[in-house]
Amino acid sequence: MSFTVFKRLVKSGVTNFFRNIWLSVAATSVMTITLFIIATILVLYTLTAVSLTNIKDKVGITAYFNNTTSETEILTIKDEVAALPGVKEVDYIPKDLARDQFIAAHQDDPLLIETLNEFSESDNPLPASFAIKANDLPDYAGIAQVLNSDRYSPYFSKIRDNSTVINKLNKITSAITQGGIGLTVVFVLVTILVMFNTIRLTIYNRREEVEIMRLVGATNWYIRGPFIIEGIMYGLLATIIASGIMILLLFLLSSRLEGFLSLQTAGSGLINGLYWKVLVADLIVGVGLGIIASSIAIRRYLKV
Amino acid sequence: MIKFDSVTKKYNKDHQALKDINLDIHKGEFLSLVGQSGAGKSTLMKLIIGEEKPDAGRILIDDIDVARIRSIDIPFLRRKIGVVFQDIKLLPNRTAFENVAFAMEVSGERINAIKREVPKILETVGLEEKSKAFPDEMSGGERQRVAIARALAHNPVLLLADEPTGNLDSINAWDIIQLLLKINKGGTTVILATHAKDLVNSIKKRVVTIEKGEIVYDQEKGKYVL
Repeated sequence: MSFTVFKRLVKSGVTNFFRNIWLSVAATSVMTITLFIIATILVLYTLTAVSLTNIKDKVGITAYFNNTTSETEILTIKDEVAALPGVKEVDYIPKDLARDQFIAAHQDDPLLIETLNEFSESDNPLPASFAIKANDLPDYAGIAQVLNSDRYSPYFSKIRDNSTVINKLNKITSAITQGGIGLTVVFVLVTILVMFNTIRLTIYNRREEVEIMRLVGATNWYIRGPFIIEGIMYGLLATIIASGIMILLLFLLSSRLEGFLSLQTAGSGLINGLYWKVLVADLIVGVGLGIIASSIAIRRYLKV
Repeated sequence: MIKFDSVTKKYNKDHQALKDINLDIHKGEFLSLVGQSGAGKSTLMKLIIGEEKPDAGRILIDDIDVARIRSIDIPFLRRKIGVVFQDIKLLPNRTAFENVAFAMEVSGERINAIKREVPKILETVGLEEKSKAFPDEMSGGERQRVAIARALAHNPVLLLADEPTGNLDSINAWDIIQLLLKINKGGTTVILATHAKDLVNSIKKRVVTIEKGEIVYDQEKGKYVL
């Protein structure tokens, strides 16, 4: 195909787009909504997935000892717990260390420090504890169960297992994925339908021109090209609008997101990556849908 | 140049459009194809441009069998054949110039060539003054001339005119026939399908008469005999 022909096809496609401007606006709007939904799902999915990995490192069981449990008992239990299946490490935090950590963590809060200082060293109210890490996430439940059993429960005042947070996050992630896929499928179908009808109408409006084109020896691609280009234009325009809005939102919210998801240094790189992901995903889906819808319309309504 | 070899075409069981047509049309000939409406004139034309396929037989144009041509090659066949119809088929929102240029654009001609050639073609059909006129600013005869100009845009070896005078008064109709004769004189083979008796009789060229899908007369310097 020569450049001259290509230029004529594009020009003709652009004319198609503007000839039914309101119809084109409707088609572009539906496509924009679809692409925005896809972008939203992509962003939500990426962010929850990232926060999931971040949180996994912080997961663990904290088991607080009674004040009555002696140091020797604790050391015996430590060895036993460390030998439990699935346990990766057991970190013993004695009362003194717990106190030091508390002071370090709350040094900006003089009232708390003062209150703690009311107690003498021997009356230290902070309990000794174990920080237990498991090899794998599913191991936590079993370890927590053993610690809660009659063998160990008399020694502990409280056992906190925060691995359940992960389950909740997992559920959110899969809900986003499933709901997102469902919503996307529905909107993709609606988009194809609307665009298909728009292009069908363009074909109908240009039927005389198409007939003459055939008679004067236009090739199939010369006749079809403008309608495909019209479809691509809906995709391009919708991509610019939908990913533009999403990128703007990400840009405005990026500092909050970084704080909220405790992304730290990975944060800005992650958000920058998201800009591209959104743009590329929207572009592929948008242009793809444009080509699919116009191809269906051409196949059904354009005799060449 | 064109050879119909035992060509048969049925649209359905009861309607046989053409029966065992054998016809030789020579290069540079002017052939009038006459017969009543529905006799098969248009079907014969559609077979030549590959718009319809025959059920049996061969249609050879310069040794190319149109009946077996690949659909991808049809556009290139049509660039060798100009077509003109009774209903003219101009694009209403384009000027005379643009309507002729349209045919050249389609085949990828460069804009310079189009600007050079179109005025010449419009001059051939006597419409150099009307180059910027839109179809609704022209008379029926002028519109048909634009259509002929468009058919000439690819410099065709063959011009098919299917009832080109059907909607015109006798003076305009005669002008169109004169134009077709002039084009024929320039070397282009012309096939004119019509049922305008007086016109055919005054042309004094070969006449092929079709009745109910069969050739009943084929006369050099013939007359409309039905």
